[in-house]
Amino acid sequence: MDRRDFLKTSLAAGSALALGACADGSRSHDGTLATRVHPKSGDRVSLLGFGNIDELDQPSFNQLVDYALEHGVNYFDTRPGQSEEATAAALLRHPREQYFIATRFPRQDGNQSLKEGQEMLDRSLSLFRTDHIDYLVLEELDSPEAFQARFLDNGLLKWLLEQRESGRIRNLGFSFHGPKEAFDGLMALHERWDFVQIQLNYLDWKHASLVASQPGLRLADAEYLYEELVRRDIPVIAMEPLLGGRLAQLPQGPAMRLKSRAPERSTASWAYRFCGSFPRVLTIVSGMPYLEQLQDDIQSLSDFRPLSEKELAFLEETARQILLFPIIPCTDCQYCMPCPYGLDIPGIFAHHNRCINEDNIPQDAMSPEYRKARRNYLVSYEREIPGRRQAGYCIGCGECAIHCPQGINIPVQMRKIDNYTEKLRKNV
Amino acid sequence: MMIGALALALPMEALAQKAEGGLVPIHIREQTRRNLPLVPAGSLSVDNFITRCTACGLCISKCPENVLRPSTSLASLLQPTMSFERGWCRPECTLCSEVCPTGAITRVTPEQKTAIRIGHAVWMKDFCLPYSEGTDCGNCARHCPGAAIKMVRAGDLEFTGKGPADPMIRVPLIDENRCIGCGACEHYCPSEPMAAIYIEGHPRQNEH
Repeated sequence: MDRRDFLKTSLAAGSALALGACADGSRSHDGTLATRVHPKSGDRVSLLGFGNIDELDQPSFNQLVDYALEHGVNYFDTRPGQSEEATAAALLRHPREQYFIATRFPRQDGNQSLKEGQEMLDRSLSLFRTDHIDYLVLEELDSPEAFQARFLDNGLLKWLLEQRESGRIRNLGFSFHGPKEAFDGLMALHERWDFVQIQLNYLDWKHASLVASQPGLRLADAEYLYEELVRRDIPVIAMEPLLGGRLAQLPQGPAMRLKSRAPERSTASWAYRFCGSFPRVLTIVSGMPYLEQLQDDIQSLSDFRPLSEKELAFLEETARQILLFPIIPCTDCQYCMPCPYGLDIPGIFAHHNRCINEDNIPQDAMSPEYRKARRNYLVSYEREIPGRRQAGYCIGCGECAIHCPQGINIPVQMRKIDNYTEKLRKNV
Repeated sequence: MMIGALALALPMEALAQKAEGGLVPIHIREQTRRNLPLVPAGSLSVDNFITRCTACGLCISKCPENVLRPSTSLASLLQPTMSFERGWCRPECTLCSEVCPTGAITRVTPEQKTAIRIGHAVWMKDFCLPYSEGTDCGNCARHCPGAAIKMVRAGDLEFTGKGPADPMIRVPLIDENRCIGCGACEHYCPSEPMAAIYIEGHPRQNEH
């Protein structure tokens, strides 16, 4: 052992010790993370999948990936771009057989040609320095028309199926969030998928249309999609278990309701255990940019027992209560960004939603709480969203709305928030 | 215009690689150069304001929208000047007139203030989004508290110069008679590097 090797090993040991110590200090992991077996490929996949994280510095990224691997997470989901590079850099420090790579074919403006698709796969393969991608997700495949245009007309699907044959892609699937008819239409076009990724959580289970809260947009409930997939024997990958954090930051009433049923567990743990309760869910992918979240989520799915009928009914009742709050269903996915006019769209929604959760939405100027709530709303708005990024600067061009997977009519919501803040400001 | 073109180029580039998130840079707008100076409602006239103001700064410290700030010009050093980059002069706010100790800004009620015309809006059509970027906007009309701006289809108008390329696109028509010069339009105009609609001052303030 030369000096460099010595330093490397001792540093690695030191950091492992430090990490272990902090894990023990807060909340120790009892038992092991649950796994599920893919019926066709036989992959033993961890029930918790490491979701895509955007814009995180490499050292923090490495720390999360190391911690996840060490605690049994072996499914790493990413998408082309900066996040794929960061994931590759972190994972290449570990042996290839320890983890499954999932990456995506994102929806783009203008459909990909066959050649562009081929280049995209080659780029992902070379980035991970490997000869196979374990799970390839055709992202946001929300209608038969989109499928036709993006993958059938240009021969891309045929090529992808050949790649699956030759083993360069081990599992091919798509992610879906749309109406029932669109799903049935997609399945009519092609059924031999190795998995389908759907938005699964205890709000979307029975209330997908209410969650999206846009009149006319009738999204398929997760229950329907799950049953359909089970019927076709296709494994399900759950995405948005927390609805972009909404189920971790609940209004106080529902939050206390969950807490009183399980004081030692986090509110987020209910969301993970809900997803895990369905046996055909292969893995639950969630972007966890903070170590404490990762720890908690691993804990939620360790020594895992599915929720009982009673607990599921309790959660369904909680879902109904949550839906009474007029939250804007933004999941902070950032697909709408950047706004050409400089607005911080997810930031504005996050602020508005937080004020709803904390009951800081003053309505009645005569109520005794009005002045305090008004001040809280306006002060936090100014502090979090600098002037030129506020809702008032939306010109309604609609560039953002076409990218929103939740179907939020962003210009209309911006106008509502602008009118609302204007009303508050006026009542000095 | 350069920056306007840049702002247009940026999103296209971002869309090509589709939505990696992030924010486009924001250019801090410079203070608008006005041909005629602007003084707060209640000042009666620019002459009255300049001769009576002792530059004590009370009104500046009270202004909730940061419309008033100390002047840096030699002629009116440290006396307040008005501009709308950071906020606009709300019709219901009369704080500056309440604190002025010298009568440079005489006392006005909100009712009086909504009738005092301290200036009027001027349209700079070359910077306006229907011209510069070919998009609908209407931010000025939407934020005008006096409904002095109407958005009208370009095809229905007769332009002396060149109209927008698309006849269905809507452009602002300003009713100067209803405009009190509050500056909401200037503040909310998204055009870069300068607002496509701005307020020219009235040296002697008049009432509706």
